[in-house]
Amino acid sequence: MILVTVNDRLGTKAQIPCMASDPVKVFKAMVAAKIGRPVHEIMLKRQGERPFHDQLSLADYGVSHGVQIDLELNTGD
Amino acid sequence: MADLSIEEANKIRASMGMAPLPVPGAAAPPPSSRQTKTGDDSDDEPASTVETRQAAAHDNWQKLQDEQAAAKKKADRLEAIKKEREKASRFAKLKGQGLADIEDEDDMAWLKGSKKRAKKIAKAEQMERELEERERQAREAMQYTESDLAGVKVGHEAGQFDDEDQILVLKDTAVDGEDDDELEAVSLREKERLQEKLDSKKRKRAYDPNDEEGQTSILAQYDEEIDGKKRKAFTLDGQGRTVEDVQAEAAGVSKPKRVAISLDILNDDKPSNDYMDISEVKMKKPKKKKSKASKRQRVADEDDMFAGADEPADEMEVDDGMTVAAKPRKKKISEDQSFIDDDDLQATLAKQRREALKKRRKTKPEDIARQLREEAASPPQSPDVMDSTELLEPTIEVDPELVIDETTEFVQNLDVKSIEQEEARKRQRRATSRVSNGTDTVGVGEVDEEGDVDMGYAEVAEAEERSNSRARSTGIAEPGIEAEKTLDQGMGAALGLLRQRGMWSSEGVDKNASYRDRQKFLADKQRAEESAERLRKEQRERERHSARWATMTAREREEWSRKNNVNADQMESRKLADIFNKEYKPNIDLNYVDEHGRHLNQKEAFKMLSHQFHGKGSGNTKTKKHLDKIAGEKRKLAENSLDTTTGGLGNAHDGLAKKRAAAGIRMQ
Repeated sequence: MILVTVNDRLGTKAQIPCMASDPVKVFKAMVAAKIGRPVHEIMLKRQGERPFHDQLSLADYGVSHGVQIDLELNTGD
Repeated sequence: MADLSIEEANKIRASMGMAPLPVPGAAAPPPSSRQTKTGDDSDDEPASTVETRQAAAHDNWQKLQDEQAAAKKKADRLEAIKKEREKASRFAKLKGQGLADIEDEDDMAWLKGSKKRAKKIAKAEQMERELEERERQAREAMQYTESDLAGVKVGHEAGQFDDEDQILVLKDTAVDGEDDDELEAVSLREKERLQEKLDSKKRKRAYDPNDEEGQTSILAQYDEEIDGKKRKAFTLDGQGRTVEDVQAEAAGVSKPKRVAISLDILNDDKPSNDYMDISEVKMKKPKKKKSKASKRQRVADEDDMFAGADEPADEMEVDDGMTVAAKPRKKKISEDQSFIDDDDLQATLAKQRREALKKRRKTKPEDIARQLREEAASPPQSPDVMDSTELLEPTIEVDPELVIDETTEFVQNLDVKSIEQEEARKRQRRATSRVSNGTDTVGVGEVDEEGDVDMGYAEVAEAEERSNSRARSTGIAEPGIEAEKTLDQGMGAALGLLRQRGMWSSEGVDKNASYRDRQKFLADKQRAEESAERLRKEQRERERHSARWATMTAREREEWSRKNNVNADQMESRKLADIFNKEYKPNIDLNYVDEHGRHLNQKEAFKMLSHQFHGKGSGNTKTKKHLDKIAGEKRKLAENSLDTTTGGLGNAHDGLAKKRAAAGIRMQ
């Protein structure tokens, strides 16, 4: 189990316990439960990189314990 | 950090069909088959694969949590210990009796002890005072005065310290150096260093030919390098002076001379009086005149005296009225005063003129009346006088002699009125004599005027002559100079006046001719143009009415008329050019006019243009001269050329001479 920090740099910051093998989709569901925003509005990305795809796992993106991920508003584009 | 709790996370995971997260408190989940497999090959190192690492993750996390908890517990314990210790130390200070503890002593005991306490307090105070005193003494002993500075060297010249304050500090030296302490001012040192730097930049010459004082040593320019720099320094002696000063004084070296400055300038601030003090005023004694001037003065005095002595006698004599006083003097001058140089002559003449004028003005009506009366009773004059009167003006009629000089002319010009008066008088007298024919005065009158008793033609001639003379006197009779025309007699007179003065010449005739030519040329030209125009018009009319015109289209008509116009224009211009070549004579006259409205001649125009071109005019003196000249010209234009009231005859003479381009005027 790892702890991943999600931060939108606007005042929302949360630590989510998860497994590194979890798909991004599941992680998003957990983030949504935590910050109270629907899943389709959540976009996760590492700083300066392209957004995570739902089908890949956190491990695919090299997310490990204590890593901070940027949270942005997904407008659907 | 309100994190998502693991339970909640597990709920979500379960709903999404994922394996739940391991809960730390609960028992480890049953090892999966993969884990058992990894556990089997134990020869591998524990975290070689992702799987093993992921399996160990929970344990690692658990370990981390435990460590954190242990650290926290330890910190808490340390904190508690520290708090306890502080608390103990806080209470440790409060030893001895508190107010509540003392309360058990009774009042009597307190009273008894009070004396002892008072003594103790006094003793403490005294101790304190003694201590203070000792401290004060110590401080006084420590005080640093100028006497402490005796024998301290200062690394500057005394003259370098100007009026501003300088802070001296101890100079930096090596700790083990055997030099004494030396004081120096940082700012002054900086200045010196700067000066040195500047000096070093200058090229120094070994030999300076302009050096006044002879060189003291050979190759003096290397002195500094060999011996090192000479430092200027003085030593304080602790009494406000320097040791060097004292030594120099002892050696008897004379001090440089002090310059005494007067403090009186401070008193000069009060406002000075505009008026001079009377004690300061010095009157210069007028010097005695030179011998020459005094001599001349004396002559004049004598004249006056003589005249004064004469006058009564003259009046008693029944001689003549007007020029009684002036006459004898005039005579005297012409007789016995011989003039050596012209200046003297002029001066004397000027003086006489002034005198005469004064005298003339003084004649009053009563005097004239009296003279009339006297003349009525006067005896006849000698005939030789009559001859002279015929030659000259009536003023000098009665003179026994004829004197013609500047003075007479001047005087003659002055008294036009008096002449007329005299003539009127004479006429009157004659009339009376004619009426009273029988008296003895009749013969006298006749003889007086004509030298002849008969009054026939002579009377007429005399009347004629008189009228002539009057006319001459009004027109300022001057032999050889015709009377000047005046502007009130019409255009001809005005032109005559202008011609006389040379302001206008009759060469305008040529100009007139040229002007007429030009006008004629213009008229011819215009006439030619008009006739051409007329011709064209007629031709156009003819064309319009022709049959061909009717058959042409509009465009053709336009073309046709344009062609005709061009032809006509060419013809016309050729004709005009012919006229031009034949008749046109341009009359070019370059006139330059300056800012005063004067016409400039070639030279002046060149000068003006040159000044304009160079943007620079004449200097002050030249300009002033020029302006004076212009003013003079204007004045000359304004005045009568023969007017003697302003300029006198000399002026008229000048004008005439200039006009005629001759050195003088001819007097007949």
